[in-house]
Amino acid sequence: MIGRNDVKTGKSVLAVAAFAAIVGMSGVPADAHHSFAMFDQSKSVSLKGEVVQFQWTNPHAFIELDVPDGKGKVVRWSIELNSPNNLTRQGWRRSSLKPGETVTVTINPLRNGKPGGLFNKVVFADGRSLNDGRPTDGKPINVPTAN
Amino acid sequence: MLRRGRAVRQMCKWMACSALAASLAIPAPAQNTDRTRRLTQEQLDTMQQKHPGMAGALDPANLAKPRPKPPFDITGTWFVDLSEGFNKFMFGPPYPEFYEAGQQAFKEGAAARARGENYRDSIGQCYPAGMPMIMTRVWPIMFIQLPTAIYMVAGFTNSFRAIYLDGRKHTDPDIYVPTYNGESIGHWEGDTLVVETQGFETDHHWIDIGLPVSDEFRIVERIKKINNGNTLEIEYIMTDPKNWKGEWRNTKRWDRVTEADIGEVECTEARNANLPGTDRGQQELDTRAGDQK
Repeated sequence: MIGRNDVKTGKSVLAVAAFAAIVGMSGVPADAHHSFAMFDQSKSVSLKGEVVQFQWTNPHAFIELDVPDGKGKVVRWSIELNSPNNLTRQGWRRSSLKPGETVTVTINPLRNGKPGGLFNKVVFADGRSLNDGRPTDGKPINVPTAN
Repeated sequence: MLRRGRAVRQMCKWMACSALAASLAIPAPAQNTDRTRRLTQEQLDTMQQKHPGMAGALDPANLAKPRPKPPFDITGTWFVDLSEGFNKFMFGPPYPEFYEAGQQAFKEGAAARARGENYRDSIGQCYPAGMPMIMTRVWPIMFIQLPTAIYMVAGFTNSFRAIYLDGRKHTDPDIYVPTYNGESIGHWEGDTLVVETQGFETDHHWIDIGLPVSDEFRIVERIKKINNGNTLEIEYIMTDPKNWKGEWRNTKRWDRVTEADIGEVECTEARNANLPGTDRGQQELDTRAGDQK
């Protein structure tokens, strides 16, 4: 299930943003392995799908998520997270996500429309959730520019 | 036809001969195998990486030499101060006047970002960040200061620096192998540690947003310890007469982190295939899309 909301108007995403703003203040910002220019941090996409893989690795953890596209096909999304050092501070563990588990993940999508994005939040079937400490208030972070 | 037949017979003869030789070689004479190879002490010594005649920084005699007490010790774990903005991990603006390659990088970089694409995503492809960018990766860095050298290991990809304090000069450029962090030599000027770094690898070595450096790139770091020893302030004075006019200056701070350690962190291209923000991750998504068609 793919839902696309604009941060400024999407209610659910506003809630996410508010939550992230509170948590994110005390969190460590995203690391700078590479620029986040490819991600549209003003947009938020909600993906409900099945975890294929959750990799607990440096410099970034990542999730591979199989998401039904609503047209009878399943699309595999690549989602990158902060580093495990940062995630641990937000309550994450290696065992936080298990293959086969159905979760809802909110991401900032790739600008080019390919099925990938920058992680914001995961909501588990029982309603628990985890974020990665990066402020997700719609303002871009880690997009280096000359001025 | 006749000629070909002769050639085949000749070949068979050679093959038989080599097969015979091979069968004879199976119980190989022991003295021809690697296991029994012995080298003289002189040969073994030649194989070692040394700079004969110059003490290493960890040579106990070098460490024990009488030296003035250093004004400060930067041993510790440190994290770049980004309180004035996340992009303070960059070394500009302000920027110096760039020549053609730098100006081109600004234009191409801006155009790529406007398309939502990476520009010179070399770190994302596991190239070393190099100096000065390795100092501000938004990962902690650690220093261990000894009388003869300061050793640094960055949390990001464990990038290594040695800043020699034992009075040595920079290595002859005809010998030194260029590196992304360069060769650093430090000396004390009053309450400031002055570190001069040169000998840079230039391949995929960028500053900030894809700005190139040349073999004439030099960095002077003027390091001060402030805030009761809990903050390092480093002024960067960077020159590269092939790429920009005059000095590129920027002052940054790092705060002491007491509840952190530097662990082993690698960048592997295979894992980046799962990171859509890298060029490798983009290729992977293209491959998958192709497979699904």
